Amino acid sequence: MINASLLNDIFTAAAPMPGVDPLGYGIPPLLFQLLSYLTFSMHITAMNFTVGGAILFLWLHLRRNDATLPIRRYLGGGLPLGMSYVVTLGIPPLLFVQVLYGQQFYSSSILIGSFWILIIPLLITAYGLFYLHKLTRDSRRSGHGAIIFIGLVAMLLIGFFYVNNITLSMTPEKWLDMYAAKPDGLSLNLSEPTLFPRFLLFITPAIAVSGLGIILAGSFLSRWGREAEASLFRSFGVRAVPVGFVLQAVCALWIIAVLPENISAFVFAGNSATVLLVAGIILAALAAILALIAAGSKRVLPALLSLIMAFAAIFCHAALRDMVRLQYLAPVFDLSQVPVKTQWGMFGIFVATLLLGLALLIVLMLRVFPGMASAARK
Amino acid sequence: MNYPLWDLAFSGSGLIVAIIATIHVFISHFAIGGGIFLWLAEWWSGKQPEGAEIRKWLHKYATFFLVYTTVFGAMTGVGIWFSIQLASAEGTSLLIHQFVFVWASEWVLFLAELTVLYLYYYGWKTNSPRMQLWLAGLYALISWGSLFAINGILTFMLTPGNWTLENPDIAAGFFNPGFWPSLFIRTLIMILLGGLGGLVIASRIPVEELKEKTVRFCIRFVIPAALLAPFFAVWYWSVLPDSAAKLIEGGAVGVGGGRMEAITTYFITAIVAGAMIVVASTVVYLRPKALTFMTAVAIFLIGMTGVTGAEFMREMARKPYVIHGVLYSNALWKHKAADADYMAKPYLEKSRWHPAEIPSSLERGEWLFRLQCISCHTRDGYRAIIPRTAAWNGDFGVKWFERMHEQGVMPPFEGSLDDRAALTEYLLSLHGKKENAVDILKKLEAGLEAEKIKMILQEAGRAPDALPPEIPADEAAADAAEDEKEALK
Repeated sequence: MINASLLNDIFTAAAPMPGVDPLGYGIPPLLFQLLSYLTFSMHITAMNFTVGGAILFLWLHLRRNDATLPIRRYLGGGLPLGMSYVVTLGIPPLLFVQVLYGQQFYSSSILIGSFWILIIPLLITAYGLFYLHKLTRDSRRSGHGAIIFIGLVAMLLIGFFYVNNITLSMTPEKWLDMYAAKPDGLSLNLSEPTLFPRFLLFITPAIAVSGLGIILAGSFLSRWGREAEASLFRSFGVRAVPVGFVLQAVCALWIIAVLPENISAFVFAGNSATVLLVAGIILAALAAILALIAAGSKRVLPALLSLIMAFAAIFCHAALRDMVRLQYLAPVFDLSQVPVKTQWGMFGIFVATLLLGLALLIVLMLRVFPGMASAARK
Repeated sequence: MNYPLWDLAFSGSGLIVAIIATIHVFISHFAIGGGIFLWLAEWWSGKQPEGAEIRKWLHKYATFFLVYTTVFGAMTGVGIWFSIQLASAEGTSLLIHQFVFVWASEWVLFLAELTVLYLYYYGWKTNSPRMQLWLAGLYALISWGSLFAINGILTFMLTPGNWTLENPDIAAGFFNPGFWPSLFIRTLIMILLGGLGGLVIASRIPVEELKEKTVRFCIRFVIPAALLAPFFAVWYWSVLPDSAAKLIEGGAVGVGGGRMEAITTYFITAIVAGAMIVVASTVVYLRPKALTFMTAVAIFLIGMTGVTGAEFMREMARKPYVIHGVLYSNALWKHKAADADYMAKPYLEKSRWHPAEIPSSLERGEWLFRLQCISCHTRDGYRAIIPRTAAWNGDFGVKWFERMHEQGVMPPFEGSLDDRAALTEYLLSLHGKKENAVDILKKLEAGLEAEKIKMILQEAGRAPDALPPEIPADEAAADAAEDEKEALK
């Protein structure tokens, strides 16, 4: 039952922070947060493969070296597949952010609405172009650099609009002036000092993570007896990894320099945020070291471990990002303001669906992949 | 009033939602029906002597299916989500919070359906026929499961049944009165579209005998579905809220001076499209070799038109609510609307999203328009307010806002008498008419005074039946006052 006085509070609370949704959280917020970190990390990993894949494809395409053709075919062919998982894995974190932070997220989305809705045609453009490349690359030689470039720009714009939205959702003090000046949703959060470093902090590791993906592909090629291609993949992949990580480190320093004082003090206060920051750095370093080992090995395991470490680093980044958000919002919002009205039965249905779904996919993959692998074998 | 409103010129947020949703609805129905079709076609091709040739056609179908449903279908599905946040954050928030684990389970189904489709498509050459049949069957089943999940939320918006805000029973909301009829009718439409999609690819088969066989196979999906759909439509009709049914019926017999209402147009579009498909499919079944690619595309597009008509009708039938009987389209909660004192309070005192200082009544009117009207109307674009208020004067505007909800397609106006006058002033200003809110209220008051006096006089048997219409209200009031003085002498 919903308390009538709560509803009154909700509808008469002070401007402009919207009142909490009367239906509240269906499970304790901590569980939503964990689900959100996990699925957001999966989304970002898929995004890294795809954006990084497109960047590395273009890099190789511009250098026009025929020897790298197998890598280009691998990267270009993987883009539509990568894109579909970027979107599909992006659904749950977008769902959970609306549950946890709907008041902030909907408000900021509407404030930048005209840009926010552009994400849809941009998605269709990028995805469609990646398919166009894949389906026509054997029949039509020219124009593929431009096709992938436009697709990449579309993806980067989507990321840029996302960072605008999320940073704006954390700074409610800007909302009212922004809305009064431009109620048509044609605002962006360009005055936000962390906007560009934050955007680049997400994009730069894409080069490293897709490098790891290329090394992993190389290790599979070794397994299939295609050693010449395998060593090409490994030697290229291992060169991309440090580039991505070094650029990310630069962006990390940049963002620390421009964070508001209270936020950077919070991050370095020796609390759980600091632990996440340090853990993220260590895990990224481990991923880089394992990538070096994998580059000199024909085995799949080091490359796989390296990717797992990178995923764990992204997870730490996701959790730290959420803590920073809560710190930004602390003066006006905390999770305890929202009532918890548990839906354990529904949660159980979701968990059961998830487990069944994953089990089904694993069984099917185990049955389908050996056939594909033997066809790929030399 | 919790959230800002997206004040988008020309299209408004409503048309953006409608465009994205129309594209998505068509493709997503095809995605599920096409999945069932793929599965049955896999099975059928295994039984035919020219199975290998049929599978070549099937591979083309699968390629078209993959690109069309994932690039356009899945992305516009995300697009609906993006657009409804912007058009109705309050309503979206309710749907998200109430059905969070339905959405989350729906996502698992998306993930599974996408992966199974890839295993099927990319395993075309390496999977055994048995595995392909399994994968196609699983795809069909899982994608239908995703319909099952979203159908509960979609029908909830029009027929929430026993679900209330005070007692939010998820099962009652999900398995609401519209759930089953909608599920059946959508399943039929999906099967029909799957068959129509098959026709498009089959029309290009060069071997005539094979084309004939394949075209007839496709038509077997179309005609039964098209013939059965009206029966389920009648069932669906029977569970609609009275107000929604009246809205459609009222339009159909010509409410509003006999002109055909938009909702009726959509209704008729759906029926005509369905009939055309039955006729066209019958012709094609009898003369399959005559089917050209463009004819097949045309029938496919007629299918899209029909589905669009039906979806628009369903959307419009929900007026003036975003969640029927719970939340109005402009984010006013029904339970708040029932509280007369609350409703009569000055609107901007309750709203969050406007500047603290609003110097003039004209600007106040603009903010009232922005915060109460633009979720449905634009100024001069989609559902434009300017032509709708062309004949207004100040007196009429203020009175209209008091009673506009009585028609059944508008929410009640929220705010004080001053608010009504300020909004009227703003709307008149869009026509270049300058009528200040204070003057509007003065005239109104004088008019009311005149009405009151007229009533007194009528009771005394001394007044004419009606005031001459050409006499301005304030002059009429003065005249009536003179009359009254005379009468008292």
